Amino acid sequence: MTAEHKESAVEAQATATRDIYIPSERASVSGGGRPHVVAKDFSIYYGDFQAVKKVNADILSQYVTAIIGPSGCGKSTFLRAINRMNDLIPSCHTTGMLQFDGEDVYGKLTDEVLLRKKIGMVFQKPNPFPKSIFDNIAYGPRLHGMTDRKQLQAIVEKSLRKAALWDEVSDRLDRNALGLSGGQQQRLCVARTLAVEPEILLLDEPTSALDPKATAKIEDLIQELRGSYTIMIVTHNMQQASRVSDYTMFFYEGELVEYAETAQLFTNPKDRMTEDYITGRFS
Amino acid sequence: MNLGTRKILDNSFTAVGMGSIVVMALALLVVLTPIVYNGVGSVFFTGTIEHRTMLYKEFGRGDAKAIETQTATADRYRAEAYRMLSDFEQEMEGMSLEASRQYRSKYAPVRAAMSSLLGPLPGDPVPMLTRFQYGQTRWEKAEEKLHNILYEKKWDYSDPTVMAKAFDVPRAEEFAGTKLAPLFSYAERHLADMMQPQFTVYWGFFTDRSLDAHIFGGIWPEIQGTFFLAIGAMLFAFPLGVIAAVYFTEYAKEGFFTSILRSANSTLAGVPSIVFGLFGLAFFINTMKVSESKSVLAGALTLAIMILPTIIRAAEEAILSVPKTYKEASLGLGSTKWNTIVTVILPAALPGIITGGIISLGRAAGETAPIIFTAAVSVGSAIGIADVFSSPTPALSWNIYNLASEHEMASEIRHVQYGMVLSLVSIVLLLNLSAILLRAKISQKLKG
Amino acid sequence: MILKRILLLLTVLLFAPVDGGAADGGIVIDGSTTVGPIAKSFAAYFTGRYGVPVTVSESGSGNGAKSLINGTCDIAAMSRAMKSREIAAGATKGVSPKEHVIALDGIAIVAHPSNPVPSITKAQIAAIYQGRITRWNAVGGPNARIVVIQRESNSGTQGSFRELVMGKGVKITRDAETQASNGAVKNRVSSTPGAIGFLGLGFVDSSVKVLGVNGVMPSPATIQNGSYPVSRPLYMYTDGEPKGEVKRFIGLPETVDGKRIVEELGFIAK
Repeated sequence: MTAEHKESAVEAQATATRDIYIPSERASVSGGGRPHVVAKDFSIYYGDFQAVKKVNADILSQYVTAIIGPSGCGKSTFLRAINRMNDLIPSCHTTGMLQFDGEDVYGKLTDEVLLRKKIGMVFQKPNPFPKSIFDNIAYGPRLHGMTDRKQLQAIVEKSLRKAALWDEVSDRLDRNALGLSGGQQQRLCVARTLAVEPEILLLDEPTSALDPKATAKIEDLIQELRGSYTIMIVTHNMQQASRVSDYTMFFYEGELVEYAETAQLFTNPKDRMTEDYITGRFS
Repeated sequence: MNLGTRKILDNSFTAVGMGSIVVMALALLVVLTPIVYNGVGSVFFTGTIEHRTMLYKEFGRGDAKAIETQTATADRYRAEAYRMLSDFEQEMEGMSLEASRQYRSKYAPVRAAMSSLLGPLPGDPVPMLTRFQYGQTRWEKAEEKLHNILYEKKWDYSDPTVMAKAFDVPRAEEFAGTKLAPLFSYAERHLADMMQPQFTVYWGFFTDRSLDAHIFGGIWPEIQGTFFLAIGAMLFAFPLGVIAAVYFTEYAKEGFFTSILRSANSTLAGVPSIVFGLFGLAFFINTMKVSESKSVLAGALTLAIMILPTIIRAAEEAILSVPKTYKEASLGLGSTKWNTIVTVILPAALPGIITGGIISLGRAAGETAPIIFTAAVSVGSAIGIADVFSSPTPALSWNIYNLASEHEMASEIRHVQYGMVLSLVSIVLLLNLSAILLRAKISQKLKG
Repeated sequence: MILKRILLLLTVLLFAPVDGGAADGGIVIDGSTTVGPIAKSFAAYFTGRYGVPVTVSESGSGNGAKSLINGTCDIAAMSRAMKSREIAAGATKGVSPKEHVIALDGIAIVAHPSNPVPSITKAQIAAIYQGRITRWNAVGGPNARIVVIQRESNSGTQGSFRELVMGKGVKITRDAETQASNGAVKNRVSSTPGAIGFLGLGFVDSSVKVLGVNGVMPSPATIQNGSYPVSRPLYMYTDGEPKGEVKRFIGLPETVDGKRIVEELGFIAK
């Protein structure tokens, strides 16, 4: 992230007004733009190996931020750090500061379970539970104490509609979710995440296992959700990043090389490395 | 390596593989054929009137009228044989002392063989033991006894420096000229009339108690004991095993302690079962005093310890084979670790866990050594569910051993031994089959 | 469907009303395989007559004694008298074994039916079991190797045999083969032409040949009058004076029915 950007973000936080460039073809989001996730000198280690190196960045609320970079650059690791998914790896630890809504994500008193409720995640491979479609969506609400069948039904329908899946599955909610196609499964996973009403959606290469048609639907879905949720998407696909995102972060070898508005980063990258990557000199 | 060598290698490997499968199938056939053939013989056989009478008197089953008429017919033919015996006994009274003594010693085995075939002879007191109160209940045994009546097996001991050879002497020759002589041809001709053989289906073999140490009756107490022990063992081992597996896979930190625990578990899985039996006696009965004497409880606990490692291993593998993505998805939705385990991981691991469990159940049902000192008795009645804490029980595995090697009339009750073996094999097979079905069903449900 | 049926079957099995009734106050017998037939028949008789369940384990005299000492059985059936060592062990646990002779038994010396030797002397048997005689022709038989069969150390019959035939402290040859029960000895001897073994008289049948000892064949008469040299009493032990049902059970050998059971089984009523 460039210095100017950082300053402007801090400024935005201070004045609670936004003054950043929005590409003309993308509408600005009302009420959005406050720093939702803030990284300060944030590093992630696997044992001794530093996978993410001293990242400083503000992720702005209600906008779509894409994270790109070659394989092994730490982009997924960074994403998974936000809802503490990396806790599953015993050797993983962090330094520096990562804040979500002003709260220290890795603070001693932070309840990662509450945190994850607010930060939903959709994974690279569609991973519905081997349960019915209904039970998949209702899993989260039930977890958080909802037992009333009517309420659950309402949430399931609402979530499926938001994920643009309702019309396809409304007549077979009791069928096993594993019977759906890959694209449907992935949208189901989005719906399942939406059912717990998160503030942030983390999408970890959500279309890498899907065919182009299903990918298009997911991308449409992201457009639909933009403005309602802060969305972060890790992707290998630079066209996808440029299509769906407002801001783009470019990671290389664990470092955040460049962070800018998507249009600017793709048309006029400041860093040589970024340019080489987006023009396909390496991948 | 050239193509020719590679082909030869491939083919010979295939041949060896096929060969070992064929050998295994043959071995299975050789083992199972007599078990099935003879075991089925404990239920389906040609029974004599003695069998029907015994069932009617001891268990109150059977067609009283038919038995009465058949008994009447049989008695008519038997009366003739009995007459010959008593005629001869009278004849002996009139003989010279020397001749009478000679005949008496030869006559005693004939009388014993007749009594063994037909039951107590007229004038004999009613025996105390049920086994002597009836004649032969099975036709093939009756034919054997007839042979003992007709022939005397003798050994030629004339030359003490060589091992003797056996030869049969027809008794008819020995008693030629006496009033007993016609008995032998009479018995041979009228064996069927005297015994009234009939094809019999004796389902009671599975549901009756045993009479007089398994000489007659069924094996219900053994079957029930086997179920009590196996299911009791599961009640302890299954929850414990699953919890331990969850600990190993989800909670334990990899380290010295965990690897010690793991290898302890693997070692336990390889410990001979008799060691568990002795442990059960020393720990559960003599130290913990879970019961006054041997009991189903002590036996079930011992079996539980024995199968625990297998269940832990099976459950551990099943849990590890659950895709990590399920766990991520659940945690990502804000689920706690414990909730994730209960609502996502265990249900998904269920087919594997259940398979391991039921195979262990089969093993618990089939093991002998762990229950010798902790639960099994050779004679005891079927017990109620309330008695499992205090009473020992007969059980198939142990009683097969007992009947085959320790029983005083082992060679007379081969059909019971085979019946028990067949029952045990069937129970284990049934359990494994249900494991397969259950697994298929749950897997299908999970797959959608 | 099949699953449900199996589950149903299991449930029915578990909670099925069973005959036999409550085992409360039942009698637990453990011990000798030789006494086994008597114990089992007494048990059946006793349960049939008084409705008291009796369970019988045949784990050997030594284990019977251990069970009594540990308080895990009511009656220890033994084919030898309790050793002073066992009585001492009982005393430390507050158990004072009381001896009851229930029958007499001859230890039959048996060989394969094809063996022409009709009778041997006690001294010859001892010599065979010590390994000093290894061929049948030394005792008037064919020139064949003697396969010596003995019982396990836990066996009361083994104990009695050693005491009656070998004398105290005399070791049995290491070549002797060990079988774990009377039935197993009978099986082994009846299938091995050169074998010699010893059995409780109640286990003898036509598959083995009984050898006379010092010219005397074992029979109720010769055992009762003491002319057959290898005979011993069979015992049941209780902890102290028996009480209640146990007392009634221990009294069975004194009854007419009890004596007849013992005799029908081929043992000798006392």
